[in-house]
Amino acid sequence: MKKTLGIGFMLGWQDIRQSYRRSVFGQLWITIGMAVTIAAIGIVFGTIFVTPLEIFLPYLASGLIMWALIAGILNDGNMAFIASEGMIKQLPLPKIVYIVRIVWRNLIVSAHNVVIFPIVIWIVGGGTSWATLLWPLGVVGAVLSLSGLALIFAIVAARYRDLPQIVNAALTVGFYITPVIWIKESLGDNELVNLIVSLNPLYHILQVARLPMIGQLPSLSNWIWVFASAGLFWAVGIYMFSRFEKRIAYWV
Amino acid sequence: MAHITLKQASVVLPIFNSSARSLTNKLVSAATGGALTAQKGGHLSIEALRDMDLNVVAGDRLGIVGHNGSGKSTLLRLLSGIYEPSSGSIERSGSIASLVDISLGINGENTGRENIFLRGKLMGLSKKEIDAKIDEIIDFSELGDYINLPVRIYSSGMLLRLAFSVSTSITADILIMDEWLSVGDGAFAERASARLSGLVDESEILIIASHDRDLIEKTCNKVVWLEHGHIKKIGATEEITTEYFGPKS
Repeated sequence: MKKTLGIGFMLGWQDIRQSYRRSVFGQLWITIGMAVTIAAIGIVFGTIFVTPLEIFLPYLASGLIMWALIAGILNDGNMAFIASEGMIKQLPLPKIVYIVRIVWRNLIVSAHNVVIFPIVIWIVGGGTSWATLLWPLGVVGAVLSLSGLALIFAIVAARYRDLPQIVNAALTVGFYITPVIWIKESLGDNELVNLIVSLNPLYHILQVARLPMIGQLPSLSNWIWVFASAGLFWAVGIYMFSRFEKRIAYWV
Repeated sequence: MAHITLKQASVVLPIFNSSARSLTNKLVSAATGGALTAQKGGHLSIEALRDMDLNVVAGDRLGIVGHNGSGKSTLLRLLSGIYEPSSGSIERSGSIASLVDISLGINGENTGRENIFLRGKLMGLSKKEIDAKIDEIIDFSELGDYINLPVRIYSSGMLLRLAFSVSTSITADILIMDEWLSVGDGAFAERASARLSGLVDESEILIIASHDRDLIEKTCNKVVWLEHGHIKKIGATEEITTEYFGPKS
């Protein structure tokens, strides 16, 4: 098990290094890209929403950073086995290596993005409180849930190649129907919005990973959703994995 | 003792992007490859290996011969655990080293030294074990200072030297090869061949697929002849090679 994890971590690191080798700023480009996005959206939407920057910018930064983690794990999850076809067909490694690989890769990317957050707080102020101490727990819950879902996606996508397109499209829609850059409360108490948002598992995952960053407590239902979904996704994922692990080499 | 036993093992590979209806009629009669069959779901699949019974035990030097598409590579993959049989069973004991794709995992942007770790880890070594072997590997590769430069600047020959030196640095109970690895030029090729022979001698079982008659006759004590994904014949080397390659001139 230790060796399996080790190989997954190593491959995840290699993916990052491979993408940024020989560029002047290297991995810093991850950070730069995210910082520019936050600044651009912050200025435009901060003006549209007429929200003070010290409230909007930390909200936006935390939302975009955590959304990038969510979308990254799910999109890459689809490709976990497909993209590793060459290795799967040549090495009898435990297949879970490839799941560890994509989750770890996305955690590294996210770590590069998270450093922007304290800088935002330092510039515009606002932000943290005791609730921030819950952030690690929120991230753990979010990543547990997402990686369970990624495992399911990886298996299904290896067999049915339409899934990556579907998930990709769904995540694009998800970005707009999840309060990542817009603030739910600013829409007033609209029942339809409340319904759409509260039935969206990504919303709850985003809440537990983001709210502590800006010093707010996620609701109890957020926590329940996240840990219950983590349990469910892993149960389904492990069941499917134990059934289909041997077929994966045939499918990729 | 290392051994591999196949019982009625088949490998049926699905081809999802083709409709059985349009292709079956035309393809079943192809001259090469495993039998093509239509599956229930409407897609086509290849019976790459069908109902294989095979028993390989310690001391065996098994050669695999057969034309292109007869299932040699698939059989190597089945024996090394990449494919689990889609029906039938495989039973295996002993550690396995596959020298089928020795460059797998090597990353052009990394230095030779980093790639030794990469490749070593993929072969199942720990960092400690690699640390213990790395000087010997670098010495053997004769890459000198190039070992600290990115592999993308290597010539293809140098790259193979690196891949060969790492891949042959571990010993395993079962060694699997697709043709004899020949790397480098002149003196290096000889040293490499000697190193490989040493590795073969240390392993309990060798399984090698080859089109090379001399190689098979020199290294193997047992040969299996594949045709259209099943065993046409299995037996002592001389007997099979004479029949497969024809009488010796």
